[in-house]
Parts: sequence; structure tokens; C-alpha cells
Amino acid sequence: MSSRTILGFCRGFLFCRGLLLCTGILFFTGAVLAPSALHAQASQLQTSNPRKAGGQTTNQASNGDSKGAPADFAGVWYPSTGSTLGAATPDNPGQQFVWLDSEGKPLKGPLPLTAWGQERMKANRPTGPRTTSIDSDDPDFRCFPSGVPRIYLFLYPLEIVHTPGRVLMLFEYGHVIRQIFTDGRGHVQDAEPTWMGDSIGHWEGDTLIVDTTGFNDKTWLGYGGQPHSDALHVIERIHRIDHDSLMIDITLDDPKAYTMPLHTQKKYILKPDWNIMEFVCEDNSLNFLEYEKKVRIQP
Amino acid sequence: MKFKLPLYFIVGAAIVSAGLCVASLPSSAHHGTAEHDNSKTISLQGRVTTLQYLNPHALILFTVKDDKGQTTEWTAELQSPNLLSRRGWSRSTLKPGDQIIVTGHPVKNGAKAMSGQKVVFTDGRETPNMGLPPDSSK
Repeated sequence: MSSRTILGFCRGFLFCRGLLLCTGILFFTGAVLAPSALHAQASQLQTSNPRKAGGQTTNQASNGDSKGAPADFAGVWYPSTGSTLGAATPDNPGQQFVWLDSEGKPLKGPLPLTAWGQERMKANRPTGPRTTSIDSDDPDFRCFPSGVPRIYLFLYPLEIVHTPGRVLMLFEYGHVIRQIFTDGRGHVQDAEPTWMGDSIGHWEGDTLIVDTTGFNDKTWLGYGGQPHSDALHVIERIHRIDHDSLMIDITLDDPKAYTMPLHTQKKYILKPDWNIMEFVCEDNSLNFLEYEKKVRIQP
Repeated sequence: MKFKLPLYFIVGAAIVSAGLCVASLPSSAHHGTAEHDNSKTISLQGRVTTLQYLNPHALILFTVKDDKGQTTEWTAELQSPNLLSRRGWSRSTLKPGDQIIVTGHPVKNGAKAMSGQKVVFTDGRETPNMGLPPDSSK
């Protein structure tokens, strides 16, 4: 057994041990301590992260909505590679979303970028015919969280968990956790921008409406380097179209980067027998980056 | 030095994909496909050195012997272990010394590397499918 294999095995063991520990803590917290912990968190948020006027206090988190939610999306879901996954086109390079116009028809031509957006897209270096990942500045290759909605483009499952006052999205890819607060609070004000944004949700019938702001401008909307700004505002309507299919209707409003709102959809397929597995991006350095150096295309 | 492939290798180069029995897998969605020439498919017989079963892409390191007896180290990039495991693969699906035939797309820069689309043993046994979940295109 080579030293590299031993190193990989040891790292894998440590990661697994860490994952088990984290899972245990999460379960214990969710099952036993959730009400008190959320109450404490709420109190802290009220003082350190004041919410917009109109948003209810986070104390209501302890009321819980896992039982009262009109729909239950709990389970492991796999992203469909069908009609809601777009192929690269000359105008919109890279595997991506199928962007729709206001009538729900596929958007033709390039994305409606502002001058600022065009500059950003021109500056980005996505993978392409002459750019391999080793020369790309795609934030994904540096193991940064993928942002919303790009995280939906990766062909790995996500698990949805309902907890009192929150719906959690546990993404296998990169082990990103997204919290959607459904306790009536508003958005965090004056918060430091984040990779996955600040998400709040509410129910309209059996549809979960998720409103996300507070993004940084470092993630892309797709593999082609499609940019967004820190003004990005994402609204998602998550609903079941049948028992085994979840549809996420997505609207992006980013007036700094795009001249009009963008619409797209992402479909997920229920995988009742699956569990989320470990995926640690930093494992890249163990073999993938060496392979990429080997197959690099010289610009 | 130009690498000469031995006669007993099944080599199909510059074959249009429509004529292939091995369909290209969708992008693994971790990185682009720029480095692989998907218009070409080759099949190489070799001996497994190791299967690196690590995310984001498993790698098969295998040696290929040419008709002069010279061996060359090749690498085949597969999907992620997470995706492979859900199709029935494991870290012990391939063991050092296994004789295999790997079919896939070569890289463009001439390195001894390819994307692995299908792996079979020379004794006729097949490895599990390496594609995405069969119902993923629903």
C-alpha cells in the first residue's frame, strides 16, 4: 500500500469520524435541544442581527412547523438530467439551466447582461475548448460553495429536512448546508454577504416560497462563467408535481448584472433508498488535480 | 516518441460517436469536458495498478504493454465514487493485477489518459454500469 493510499485512507477515516460526530450532534440538537437552542439562537439574532421591519421575531422558531407544514418534502432527491438541465450553447457555454422568457419558453440568444454583467462574464475564465479546470477561475474548482441556484446544477443528491422553524437542504456536493427559515422572520439586515445567501420561506398552499438575498458576487450561475452581483435576489417556488418529483421554479432578479429577471426550473427525483454520502471537495488534491495537470491543454 | 499500440488492443480512433456502442456519459458536472476528445473512442487492454477511489473522480491507473513488450502507464478518469457506488461499484471492484479493457475518450494533449466510459475484464466479466442513475432523465 503506497503512502498516498495510506494518507487517503487516514484522511477518509478522519472525515468519516468527523461526519459521524457531526451527524450525531445534529441529530441530538434537532431531536432534543431544538426548541431551546432555537430560542437561544433567536434571542441572539434579535440583538446581533436585527431583521427588517415586518419580519416576525425569531422566538417563533420554537413554535415549529414540521408538523404544521402543508407539504412534506423530506427525503433524498436527485437532480433530473432531463428537460430542466440545459446543454452548452455558443451563446451560453457550459452545462447550465434552461433559461425561460416571461412566457415560459426557452430564452433565445445570450443572457440579457448589463454592461457590468458583460464585463464580469468577459473576465471570467470558465472551462471550455481550450481551458481545462486547472486554468479556469471557476470558484467551484477552489472548493467554494456553489451559491444559489448553481448548486442545483451538480449531479449529486440533496436531502431536505423539516425542522421546527426551518427547512434544511443538505447538499451532498461539497457538503453545503442551506437553512431556509420558515418561522416568519425577515432577512438579516446589514449582514456580511455570503456564498449561499440568507433564505427565508413561507408556505402558499403546498408550495414553499423561498426568498434569498445577501449573496456575495463570487459565485456563478453556471459552468459558463455567467455572473451575478451582490444584488442578486432569488425567489424559488418549491412544490411536488407528483409523489416522486419535486419542481423548483426559480426567478432571479439582479438588476446590476441582468437587464431583466431570469426564470428557470429544476426538477428533482425522489430517491427513497438513498442516503447522502460524503463528498469533500478538498479531496481534489489527492488525485484529481494531478490528473488535471497531466491532461492540461496549454492555452 | 509516438506510442505504438499493440495488435491485440482494440483500438477505435476517430470514430464518430454515433457509431459507438458506448454512449458518452453526461458531464460529471464537476469539471468541463475540454480535455477529452469526445469524437474519438479508444479501447485499451491493460493491467490494473490501482483504483484510486476518491472524489471528485475515481481514477484507474493501469499499465499497457505494446507489441515490443514496453509498458506504459495510463490513467482513466471515471465518475465520482459516490455516483459509482450507487451503481454497484466499490473500491475493490478493480484490484491490482486485474486484466481489463477500458473504453473511453482520449485526452486532447496526447497524454496517456482517457475518460473511462466502460470497463470489462478480459475474462468476459463486466463491471457495473458507470452512468448516472437510470431514471435521472425523467
